[in-house]
Amino acid sequence: MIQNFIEDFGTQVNTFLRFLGGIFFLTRDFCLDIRTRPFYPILVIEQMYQIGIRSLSLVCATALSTGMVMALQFGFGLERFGGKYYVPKVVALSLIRELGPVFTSLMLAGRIGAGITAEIGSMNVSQQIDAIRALGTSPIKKIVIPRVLACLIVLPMLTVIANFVGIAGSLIIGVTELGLDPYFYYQKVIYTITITDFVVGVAKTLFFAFFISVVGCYYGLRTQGGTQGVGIATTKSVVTSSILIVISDFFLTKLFWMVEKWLAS
Amino acid sequence: MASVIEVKHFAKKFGNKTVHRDVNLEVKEGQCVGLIGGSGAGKSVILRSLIGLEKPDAGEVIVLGQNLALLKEKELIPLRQKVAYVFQGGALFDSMTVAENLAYPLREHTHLSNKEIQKKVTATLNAYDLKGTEKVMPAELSGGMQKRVGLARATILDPQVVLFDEPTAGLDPYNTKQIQFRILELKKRGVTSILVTHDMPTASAVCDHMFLLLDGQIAAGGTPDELLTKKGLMSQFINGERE
Repeated sequence: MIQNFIEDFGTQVNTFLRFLGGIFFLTRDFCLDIRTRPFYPILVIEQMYQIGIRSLSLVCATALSTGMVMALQFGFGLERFGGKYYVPKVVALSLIRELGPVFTSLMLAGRIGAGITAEIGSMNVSQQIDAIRALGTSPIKKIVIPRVLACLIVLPMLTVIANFVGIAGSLIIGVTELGLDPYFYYQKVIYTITITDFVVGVAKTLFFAFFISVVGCYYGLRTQGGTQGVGIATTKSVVTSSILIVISDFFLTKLFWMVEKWLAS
Repeated sequence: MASVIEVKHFAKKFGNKTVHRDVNLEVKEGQCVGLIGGSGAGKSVILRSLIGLEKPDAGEVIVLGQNLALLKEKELIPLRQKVAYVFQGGALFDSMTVAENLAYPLREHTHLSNKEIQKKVTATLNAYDLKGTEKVMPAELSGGMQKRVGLARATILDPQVVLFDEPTAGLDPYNTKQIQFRILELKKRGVTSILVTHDMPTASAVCDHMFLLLDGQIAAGGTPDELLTKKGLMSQFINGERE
């Protein structure tokens, strides 16, 4: 039994180290190849459409719902202590600094991360990735770079839209359910949010976009074993990028607070 | 005739499984060589190594004077314009139309205008009896047509060497004949080729020389006539007397 445990543990450690190594080499190839010709801007634009425009409704629905729920929860919760008027401040700050970026990224990890892995994985098992190489082109340039760049450009944009939609949702609930004046709500939001809050929230999404796209490409390129392999790789990709988003969010929050303090002093 | 392909003491392992122990073979310019062997014998692995899709664990793979084992991925790109690989299932890009698949190597490696590319694609499709399939997606084609498009795409840059991975597997007699005709046509143009196959009629129709891969090494070699008539490993393999 102890031997089995040690063997299992060893396998897990081995898999984890392989994953870290794979991500490191993929990131290195991305950084090296992005600087050299040929460039494929059309592929980046195509991916931006796939990732951005096609995710817009999902992101807006999530943000609207989050904003409305938060306004309701804080509104009824704080009303007991006479703090209903703090709802615009609390909701706007939470959305802009934390929930907007994280929820948008988690939604995209599910939709885009899975899509990237499934698409590349299917190409891999049907030898299309080999064909790209055999025809004298680079899968990093043709497959990885357009997807990573598109994610890096589109995710911050989607987050900005999600922030606005989320606050609009909370405003609707603030006015209709909590009886707050819309102008008062608007004024509170505007005076509470600073440029720093906004930038910090959006800056986090650059890291999240990188995790989603690189992890998606990594699992796609390593897919083996036909359609079953594609399914397994897709699940791993979504789980891994979601965990990376949630864990890195803590460290990024801490890091950005430290930077803010340092800048203020 | 000069050697175009030389494989020396090639060894390859996957995990704990040794697939090749010591493979040696040589292909001269303009020759068409058949590589046969049982399923899982590692024929496709050798073929993939000849274009750098696999690296040997030991030994040398020399193609057009370059040792592929020593080349990095980027250094292989110029060589891959001279060596074409025809995949078993075609490996067509399923997000592109047939015409876009054929145009892919031309767009990547030539300075032809869109009009010239279109002209060349149409001419190639006509030559491969695929007229009218320009705007069709690969998934809408039959298996035989997919293989012909794969062959057309691989040879559109006029390569010096063509590697065929089971080009006639699963095809009806008409499509098999078509592929045989294409291989013979390439041979007439002086193109060197290696054919991995289980299809003995095709191998004996197009190959100048054949090798039998057995137990991780080349167990027999000779002209199709020699190998098919002589009693030995090759005849045992063909008659299903050994794996």
